Amino acid sequence: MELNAISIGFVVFTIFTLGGGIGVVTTRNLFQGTIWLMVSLFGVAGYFVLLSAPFLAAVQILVYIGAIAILITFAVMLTRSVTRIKTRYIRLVPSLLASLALFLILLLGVTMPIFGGVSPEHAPATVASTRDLGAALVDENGYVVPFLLASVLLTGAMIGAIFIARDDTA
Amino acid sequence: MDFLNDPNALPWLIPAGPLLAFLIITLLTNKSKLVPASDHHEYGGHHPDYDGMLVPVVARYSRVISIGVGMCGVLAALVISWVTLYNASQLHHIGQEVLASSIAWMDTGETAFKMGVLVDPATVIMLVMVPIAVLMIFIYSIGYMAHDPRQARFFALISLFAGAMLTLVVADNVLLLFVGWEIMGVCSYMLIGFWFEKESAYKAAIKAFTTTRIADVVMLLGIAYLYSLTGTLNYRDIMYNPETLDMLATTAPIIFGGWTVSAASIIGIFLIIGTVGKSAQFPLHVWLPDAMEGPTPVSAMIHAAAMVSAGIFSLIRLYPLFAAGGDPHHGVLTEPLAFMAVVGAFTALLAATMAVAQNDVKAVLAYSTISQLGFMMAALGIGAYIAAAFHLITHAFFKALLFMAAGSVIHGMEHGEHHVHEHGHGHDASHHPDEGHHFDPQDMRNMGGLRKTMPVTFWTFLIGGLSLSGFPIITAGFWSKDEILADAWLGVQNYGSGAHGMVFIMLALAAFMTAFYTMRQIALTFGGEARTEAAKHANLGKGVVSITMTLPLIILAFFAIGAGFVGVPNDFPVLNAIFSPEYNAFHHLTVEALPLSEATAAFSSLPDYHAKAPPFNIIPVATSVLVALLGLWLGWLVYWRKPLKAGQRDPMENFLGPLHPVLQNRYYLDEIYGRVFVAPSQWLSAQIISFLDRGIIDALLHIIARLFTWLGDLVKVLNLWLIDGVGDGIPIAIFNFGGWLRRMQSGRVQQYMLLILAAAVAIGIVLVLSSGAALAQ
Amino acid sequence: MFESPTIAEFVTQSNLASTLPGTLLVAWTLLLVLVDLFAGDEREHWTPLGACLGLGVSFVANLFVYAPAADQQTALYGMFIADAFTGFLNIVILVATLLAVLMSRDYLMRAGIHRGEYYILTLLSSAGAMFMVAANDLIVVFVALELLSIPLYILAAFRSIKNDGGELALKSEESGMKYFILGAFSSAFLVFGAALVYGASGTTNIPQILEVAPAVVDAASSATFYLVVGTALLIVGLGFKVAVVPFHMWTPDVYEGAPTPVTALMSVTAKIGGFAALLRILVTALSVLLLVDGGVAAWQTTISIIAALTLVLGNFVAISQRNLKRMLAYSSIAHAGYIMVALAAAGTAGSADSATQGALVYILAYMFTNLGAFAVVMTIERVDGGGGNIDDITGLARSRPLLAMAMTIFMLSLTGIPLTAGFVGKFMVFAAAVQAGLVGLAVIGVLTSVVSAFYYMRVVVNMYLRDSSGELLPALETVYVRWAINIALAGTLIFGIFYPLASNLVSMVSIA
Repeated sequence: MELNAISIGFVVFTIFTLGGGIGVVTTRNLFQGTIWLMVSLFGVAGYFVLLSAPFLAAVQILVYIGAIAILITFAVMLTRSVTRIKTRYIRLVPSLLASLALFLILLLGVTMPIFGGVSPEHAPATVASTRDLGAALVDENGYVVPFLLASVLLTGAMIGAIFIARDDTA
Repeated sequence: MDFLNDPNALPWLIPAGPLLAFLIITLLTNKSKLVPASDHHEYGGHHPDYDGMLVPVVARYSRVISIGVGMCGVLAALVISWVTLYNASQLHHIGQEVLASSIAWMDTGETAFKMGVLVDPATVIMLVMVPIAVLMIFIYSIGYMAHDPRQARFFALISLFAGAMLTLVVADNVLLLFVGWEIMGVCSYMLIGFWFEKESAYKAAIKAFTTTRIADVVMLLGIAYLYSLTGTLNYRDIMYNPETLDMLATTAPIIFGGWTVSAASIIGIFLIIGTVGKSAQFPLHVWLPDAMEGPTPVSAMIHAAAMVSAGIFSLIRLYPLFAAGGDPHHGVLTEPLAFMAVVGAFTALLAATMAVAQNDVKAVLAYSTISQLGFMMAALGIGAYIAAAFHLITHAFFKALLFMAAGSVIHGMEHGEHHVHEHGHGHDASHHPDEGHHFDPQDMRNMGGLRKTMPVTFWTFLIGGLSLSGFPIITAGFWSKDEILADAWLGVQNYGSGAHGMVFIMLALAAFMTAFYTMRQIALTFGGEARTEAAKHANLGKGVVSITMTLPLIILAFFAIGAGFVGVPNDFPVLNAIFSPEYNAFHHLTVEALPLSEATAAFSSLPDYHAKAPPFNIIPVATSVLVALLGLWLGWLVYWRKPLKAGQRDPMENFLGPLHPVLQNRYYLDEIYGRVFVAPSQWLSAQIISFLDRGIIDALLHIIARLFTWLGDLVKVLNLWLIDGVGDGIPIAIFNFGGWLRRMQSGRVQQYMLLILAAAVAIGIVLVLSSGAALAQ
Repeated sequence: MFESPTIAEFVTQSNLASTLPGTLLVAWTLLLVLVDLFAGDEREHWTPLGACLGLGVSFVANLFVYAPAADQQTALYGMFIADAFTGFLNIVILVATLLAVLMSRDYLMRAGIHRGEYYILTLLSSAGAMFMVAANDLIVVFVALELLSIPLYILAAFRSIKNDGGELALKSEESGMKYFILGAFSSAFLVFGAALVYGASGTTNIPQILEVAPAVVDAASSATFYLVVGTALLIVGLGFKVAVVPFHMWTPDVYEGAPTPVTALMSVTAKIGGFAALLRILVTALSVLLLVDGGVAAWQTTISIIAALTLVLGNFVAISQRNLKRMLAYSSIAHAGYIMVALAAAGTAGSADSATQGALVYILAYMFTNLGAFAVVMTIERVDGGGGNIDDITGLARSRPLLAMAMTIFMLSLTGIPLTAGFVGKFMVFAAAVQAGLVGLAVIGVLTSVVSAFYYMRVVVNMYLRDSSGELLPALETVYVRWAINIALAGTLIFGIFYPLASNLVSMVSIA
């Protein structure tokens, strides 16, 4: 790996992403866990930047850190005993082993020539603009159907969320 | 600083003052602590709802500073507005030249979306009105809110309100307009619900916010559609650009491909629906009467200077779009124009009838606002662009005046009530028809004779009322209303346009009722003798409070008369020589906001926006004089000549008979909204259920039941054989095996996840190996 | 600005008509939200009726677009496919939902938690299942799967609200929560798998993956690895939805805690959606992962192992269950195993069509029988969730001979006794397995069927042979539930007695 800005950025963002993830699962404080989650999500946003998708990076930060993580923070703050979570690691070792095994399969498959040569494919030089992205979402030849279906899905989820959350004693 | 010297960039600073004031008050000067209300003598009697509650009390110095900051903000806005107006007057030909400045705000691929400010004739007229009206409201608030524990909060919010309105006024694009629009929505929510301890107040706040939000969503759709077609939201690029207008007027919309409407019409109607909500037009008018639950300065802000005016202002701004594809000056209305004409005229009449039967001093004014906004909307609908703008300005002045005068009356009544309690006058039950209930200082039936105790309020209210009624020649309301009627008459006369005729008749009727209920209000409030002890002792007190509450009334009274003379038609007999020797000043200025005749002539789809002012015609003038005087005379006859006695029934109740409660209850529209949907569906479902329950299937079921019993016996035999036939050992072994497997089922989610993960690994390995084996061959 | 077609152009170009069953159901559901809002106190009649009507409308629309000509099949620019496969499964889903709705009204009234949202969520979930069987693109598969699942999560927890008596059912809340967490966990596998397949093939469209896949396999590069691992992860993600071993662990917990009609619904529609997607992905898109000489797909081994494990575990654990709902939960795992057998058989070149048809008939039979069984369980279950044990049905034949009769037929059908629909399904599945050369799997299937007879027949024995402890079970059910049982019974018997009916219905199905 050459030592250039991109590879350094990659290392930094990887530290953010993985470190944040480890932080989430190890901390006993729910609130700190949320902060760690934000760190991890920020690292993912960094990956998007490295992959020349600044719009997705912005969306990642706006939606995941700006909205979802903040929502979680609110939820955590409304919860009692934020700092006294008694975590019990149920079968810590087997879990670790299974995760590592899955990771190794993926890692070896990508880096080792299991099925023949490793052929890194280069991304096309043209980077999709925000406009292309928007067009792909709503253009009839793009992903308009999943987009519409997702809206139905969100409607259902919202009805359900309201139903579950409302304090209905009627 | 260069920035300050650049006339183009200066309008950026107009909304800055109030917005900054909001930030400073909120973040720095609004310091408070919770104190039981009763412990604090100062707030003891003002709002009984506070008694015994923990109220946040702001230190006196903090309140004084907050008021100072708010005043500085609005004064700065006023001064910068005036400088901007001066700069605009230096332009060679305002309209063709404008003051404009913008920055790239959001990158949208090849181009950038620009945010900026624009001073064109439409902005100019608003910059004349808004800052002055807002300043008056601020000054008035100092007195009105003097005893409220949340004074600083009030000034912060109302500063934000003013800042949002000014943002909306100087915006150069529809999106920024919408931003200001929405901030005002939030402010109105917080200010209508300012006394949120009162249930009616927070309910009104929610009602106002949700009602206007419904309309705003539609408006946002319109904005999005406009942007998708034109790629810009800038006024100059759309409204002053005949090519864009022509494109919009001739494009068939995607959604309604089969119809003959144009994209401009669809967008127009969407945007108008936004205003129907914001400017409280039928059927979304229901929030505005409830909005008077807020403090009176807020009512003045909503009804006059800001919120509802913003709705009409946005229509004025977007008028070229609405008219594109038609020619209102020649009797050809587009769908949006016809929509506005119908909704506006209907609302004007409907609200006027409701106002006749109200007893709350502010409710009458609230309905009159709805009615007057209907006038403006209808005027725009028939192409009377200038008349609508003119009425917007004059109405803002006299309605702000009326509201604040009404607020003074209420304040005075509360003062009087307080006085009565303290001095023990109140023990005679006859003075309190609703003894035991909370005394209502807003009910006109409790007033009367206030002209003696509150003379300044009386005279200014009279001026405002006459202006609202359109008292001929000397009031501003006359000139603007007359112009609307003149425009309508022109359409009837020259082109036989039914829409114009309808607007003319309905508005004339509404104007008649306006004059009548205004006189009724004045007579009930100020005429005759005091009907309660509170009214007898009503006054504003002495000192600063009294001055801050009367001074704005006097200043606004001046405008309520004088504002009309800038728009005297230049062929009006006699007066033209004095007020408009060369041209009608208002018309001359405002029409320049529209695209030039030479530019639009090339496009057949576009009308000539620069239509001439309607020529002087005696019929509309006589009509407006007649309806105003007749209404006032009738009101005088019924209410002033024979003043209402305490406890006496309102003569209108006898006159209208069963219609009176209908009007008083707003045509039961709130109830109707609920019943229209619920009742039919209940009926229908009941019918269907009874049909099902009749049991057409029961007979069938009995036959099948027989069959099943027979089959049951058969299976019983079958099972006997099965169970007896199978040996004992095998089932027990199987049972034990099952029990062992069952123990894996722990009910723990983490364990299930672990199993899934492990299985994923296993499946991956198996699949990779089997595929790998295939490939190896 | 890009050119947008008008509505008319869009309708013709996109072949929107063939999506009508699903889209009409969604539109109807959204209308139903409003109807429910304004129906007031009458909603307990009005909303379930509206839901049934919507299912009827969708059913009629489905008859019109059932099995269109080959060039008419894809709709919405390749995202959506409406062939005989889709049409057939749509019917199964719609009937299943109808039965569940009929059961639900009674259940909700009894539990005192009648809310209009229930029916709306049910219909949305079924619409999701319908979109899933029609999905021709991995992204649609995922979104439709979520549309199918998320309402089910909420429905599973539907009793966690306070009922009219102010009581909570904590088991239901646990059920919903567990289903949600594990569902989200498995969805992650699905998405990751789809991403890897997309990375390898450059497309998410299922027919296009079929076109690209040979080249990817021939290139023998890391892209091949992505394709294989992607396939594995897709199997994991969808395997959870259809509840096969080892992704079955959630099933008994969730089925037991959820309201019974919901259990019935999710035991059918979620499986249909999952199996449809598995068939489309494995049989259509990835059938080219073939061994060179054997002519079988590379994923056949994996699926066979899963099928065998599922058959054994599902059937054996069901034996030791005392609670009827839990017993039916394990039996539903076992039935997923039989369908898995058909899926494995579809991996052999040449027998893909017969195996797919077998799977569809099995699903049809399972739908009628399983829903019927749940409906009977529901009628004897107490509102608090108790009373659903195997001992509680003792002597049912005496107190409710009609009900006991119906239950007997359902149990026979689940076992696979001739003259019931269950037999037809099993026969076709095993025939396909033998034809595909999976004799061992077929033998395991037959043997476990015998094992299953043990626990199904115990129910019958308890009803008929053992005397009740004394009190007779009261008739709790209403006309709605009786209708549900009648329809299920009719389906079970008609398709069982008129044996060729089912195989004729699916004879047009071909997805390979």
